Amino acid sequence: MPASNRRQFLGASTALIAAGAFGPAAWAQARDRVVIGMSLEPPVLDPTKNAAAAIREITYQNIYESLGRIDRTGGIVPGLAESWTISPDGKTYTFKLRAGVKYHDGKPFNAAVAKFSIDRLYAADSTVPAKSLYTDIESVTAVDATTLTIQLKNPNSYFLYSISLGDAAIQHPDSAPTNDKTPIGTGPFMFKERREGDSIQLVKAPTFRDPGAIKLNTVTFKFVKDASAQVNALLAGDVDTFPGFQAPELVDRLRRDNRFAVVLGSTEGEVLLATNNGKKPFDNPKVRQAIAHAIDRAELIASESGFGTPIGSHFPPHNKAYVDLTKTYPLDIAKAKALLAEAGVPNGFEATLKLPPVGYAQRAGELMVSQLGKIGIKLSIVQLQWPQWLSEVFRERNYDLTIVAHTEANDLDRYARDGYYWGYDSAEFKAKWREVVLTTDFAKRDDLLKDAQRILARDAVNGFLWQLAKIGVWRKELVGMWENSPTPSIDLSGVHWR
Amino acid sequence: MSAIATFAGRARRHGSFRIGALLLLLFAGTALLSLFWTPHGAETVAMRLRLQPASATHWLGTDHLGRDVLSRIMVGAQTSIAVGLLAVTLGMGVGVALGAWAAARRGWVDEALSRSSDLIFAFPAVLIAILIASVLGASATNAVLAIAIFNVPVFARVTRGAALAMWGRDFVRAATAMGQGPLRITLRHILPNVASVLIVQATIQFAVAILAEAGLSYLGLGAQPPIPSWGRMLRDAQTYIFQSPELAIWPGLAIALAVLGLNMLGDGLRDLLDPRLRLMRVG
Amino acid sequence: MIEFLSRRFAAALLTLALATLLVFAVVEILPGDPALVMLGTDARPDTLAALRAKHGFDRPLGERYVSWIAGLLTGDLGASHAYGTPVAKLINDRLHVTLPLGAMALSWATLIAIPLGVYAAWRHNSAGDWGVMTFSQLGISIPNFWFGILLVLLFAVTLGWFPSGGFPGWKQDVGKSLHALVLPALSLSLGEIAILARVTRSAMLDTLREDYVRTARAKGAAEGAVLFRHALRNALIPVTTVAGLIAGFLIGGAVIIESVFRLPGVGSLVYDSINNRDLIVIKNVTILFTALVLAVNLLVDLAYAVLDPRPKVTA
Repeated sequence: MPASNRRQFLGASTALIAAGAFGPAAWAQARDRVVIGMSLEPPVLDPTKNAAAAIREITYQNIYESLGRIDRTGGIVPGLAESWTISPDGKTYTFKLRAGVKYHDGKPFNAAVAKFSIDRLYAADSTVPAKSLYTDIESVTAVDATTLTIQLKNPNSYFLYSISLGDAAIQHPDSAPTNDKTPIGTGPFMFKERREGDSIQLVKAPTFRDPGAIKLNTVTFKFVKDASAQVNALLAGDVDTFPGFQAPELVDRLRRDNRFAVVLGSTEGEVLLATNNGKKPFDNPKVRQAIAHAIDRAELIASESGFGTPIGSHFPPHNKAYVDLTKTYPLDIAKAKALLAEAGVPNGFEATLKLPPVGYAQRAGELMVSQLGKIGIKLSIVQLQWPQWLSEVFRERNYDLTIVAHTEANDLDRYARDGYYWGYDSAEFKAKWREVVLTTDFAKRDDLLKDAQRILARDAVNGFLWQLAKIGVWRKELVGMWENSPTPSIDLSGVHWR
Repeated sequence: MSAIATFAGRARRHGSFRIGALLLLLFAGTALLSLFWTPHGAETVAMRLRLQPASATHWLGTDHLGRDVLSRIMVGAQTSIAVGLLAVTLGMGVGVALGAWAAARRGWVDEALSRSSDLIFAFPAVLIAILIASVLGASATNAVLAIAIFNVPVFARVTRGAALAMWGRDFVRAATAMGQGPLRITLRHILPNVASVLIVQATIQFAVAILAEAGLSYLGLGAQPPIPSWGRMLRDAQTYIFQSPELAIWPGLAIALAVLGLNMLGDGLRDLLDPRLRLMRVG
Repeated sequence: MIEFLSRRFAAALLTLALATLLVFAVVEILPGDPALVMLGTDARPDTLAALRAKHGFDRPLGERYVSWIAGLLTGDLGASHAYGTPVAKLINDRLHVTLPLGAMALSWATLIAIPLGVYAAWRHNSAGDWGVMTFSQLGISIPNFWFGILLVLLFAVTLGWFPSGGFPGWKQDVGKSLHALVLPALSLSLGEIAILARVTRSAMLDTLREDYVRTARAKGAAEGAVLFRHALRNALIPVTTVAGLIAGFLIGGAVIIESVFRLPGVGSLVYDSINNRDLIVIKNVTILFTALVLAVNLLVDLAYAVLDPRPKVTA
């Protein structure tokens, strides 16, 4: 979902505060604390109240837990549920919950609490941003204190994943109303204080079930919007890490400093030249294919200082169901012009390119004007603020082209939605996606996902540009940070100083 | 004829006026020249040449998309002039009309005008300009509107003040006694006599408008890329401050020189036309 | 004088009242849906509607205006949609950055500009005068955000004497926090120094020509006493007026400068709020700024009345 990528995965990390500048005592003291830089500040601190990815980055697995948890490889491992079983018809999930888990305020966790929390996700009057992920739920039953069953209306091969996301954080009925300001969860860290516009501090939770496993006592998230200020904060030792460093052009500066490790990882973010398939002349597949032939991904990635992997469809290259479709429409200006002629617009046409206020879109936008200009498509850029982008482009579909990253994992379902802002309406794809959702055999599902990617590439629904890279920067002594970003989370449970 | 000759003679000896006029010529000349010729295409992207230092082919180097910085600065002068000139003309047109009307009618018109000027002056200009650009959408046209709004009360006040003084003068009273209507008097007697104040004020406001345009486009609310604008170039340059710090120098220098030229010209004009003029500077 | 001041006060109140109407109108027509901003692209129409109802975005305009004004009058600024925290707390926290920044800039402007202006007037037509005037011309012509970038280039990137942006926070480290305000205050004050030096110079030139100054000189008063006791005191009248106006510009300038230096001040709060459609914050901060400008103008009037013993003619 594009909205969250303005608040893209910002990593987190820790650094010794001005290590070395203070004596050994300061050093020792610094080893249990970490300062994590993020470029976007979360608004509230409750993922059930707001869609911003930064909320999940800070709270998921640190403050709140879900029944399952997404690990650093993107796999699903036990969270608040120790184990689960799925009925043969794929419609009944039975979770065995951990016993003895406590909230930060001392209140106990049990199946009734879990039921309360999950009921909120799909309730008729729910205002949870990700409600649509949970509408397949028919009912939730607390069988006993540690057993929870969830009954689905139909099988859903993504259900276990959805229920393990930060969006499905298990909150206590007593603290749920105030979690936006003072979040209380079951995770290893508890909220201490917030200075809006500046920082959020967490401390190790004494209530956590396995306190010995947690090496950090204090975690500070510091918000630094501007890229060059981020570099300065790192160089000055004010911040130990930027897990999601946003300025590819400044990476060189950090690589020259041997205090830092710069680690490249994968993300779930596909950058698209999103196209209004419902509007002339973009409703003509030939026009979209012409655009695809005119896109020079090498140039686009060069303007990201080389960070990014080309994609030919809407799917992350690190996923095992990925097929390489980048050669479907090779860069070929003559071919592109021929396709435009076939589509009845041999001399090109004028169109607008509405850009959200994010660095990659701004950089790629100006290049896109130049690239499409070569086949006679004259683009004029309109820069929008996020609220305008959401209303004008996303909701009202009043646009020709836009550039945006879709950062959720498993987000191909957007192409099967009615009324989504791309205006893509394909019975073939919808049927294929229905199959994907109903197929709980994952090997078989992977094959179906490959077919789905091919359909999108063939139809050239959007311009498929590149997969965003996760640029993690942290002090070399800091161990345990996630290299990849399978889901928005700066999981600190395994982080410590060497 | 001889009045003009005297003026020209004095102007030639006036240091500030001369420097200002020279800078303005350079500024306008660059904009004019860029209509026909720039060393390279201002919007020609060449990724292989990105962030090059100054060289014989690219006198001021290239930007993050490999575009020629000098060409972009030259074309950026067009943007500055167009936005500044339009904003001032628009603000002046409305402001002078309102100010003259208030001076002629006095009473509630005058009161309403001074209340609404107070209102606009009380707002933090930058903030309101950002809000206006957010409401109307980011574009050069809307930047013109946002800047023009703040020019209206400036010209209205200056015109009103100068015109009020004129209405007290004998020749105006005589015209009134002869039965000439207020519109006719304003057009025939008042406005020609306050023109010099307005010219000087317009010069200063032009300078202020160029600064404002740079500020808005620095915030992404002015002319839209890839159209070159100085403020936007500064914004982009800030990102590459570690690699190519000189990128942050040239556009700023261009803004400063253009504004300096207009300010000096304004000061010079004031001395030459009427050293007693009271001007407003609203930024 | 009392009558004059109370008339000015009434006019300021009227202006403020009009300002609330205008600000409310502008904020209401800002394109974009705050509920959509909060819930993002997966939000369903029913969840959006529920959220709008919860925050009262669906209530009639008049009702919302009245409740906002009622809140302002009773000191209840409401809660930010984005953060969920009270707006008063947000503004208060940010003022801890913006006020010291403005105070630093204004005091430098005064401390540097007045001596410069006095010197230029004293040595009228000398090289020093010319230098001050040139500096002043440059000062008003240089965009303050560019000056900020230049300062960063020189003092932060090249020399490393100052941080290039950010703010550690008073609680964390007072010294470092002051340190972080130096460059922004410097860039904010450049234009103000220029204007103030100019005004001081011309006001001093005027007073130095006055009879009583000549008399004092003729009587053999020391040059310093003439300059500071006699001339400057009277020259301060126009200078105060301009300093007051400048305070207003400082407030506006803070929006851009705080963005250049990433300071968590009121300027960046309102800028971020515009970008997030945190409508209640935009409304309240804009009105706060407006009220500040009006208050400063009133203070200037008051100072004027105190400094200038001559009877006041109201325009």
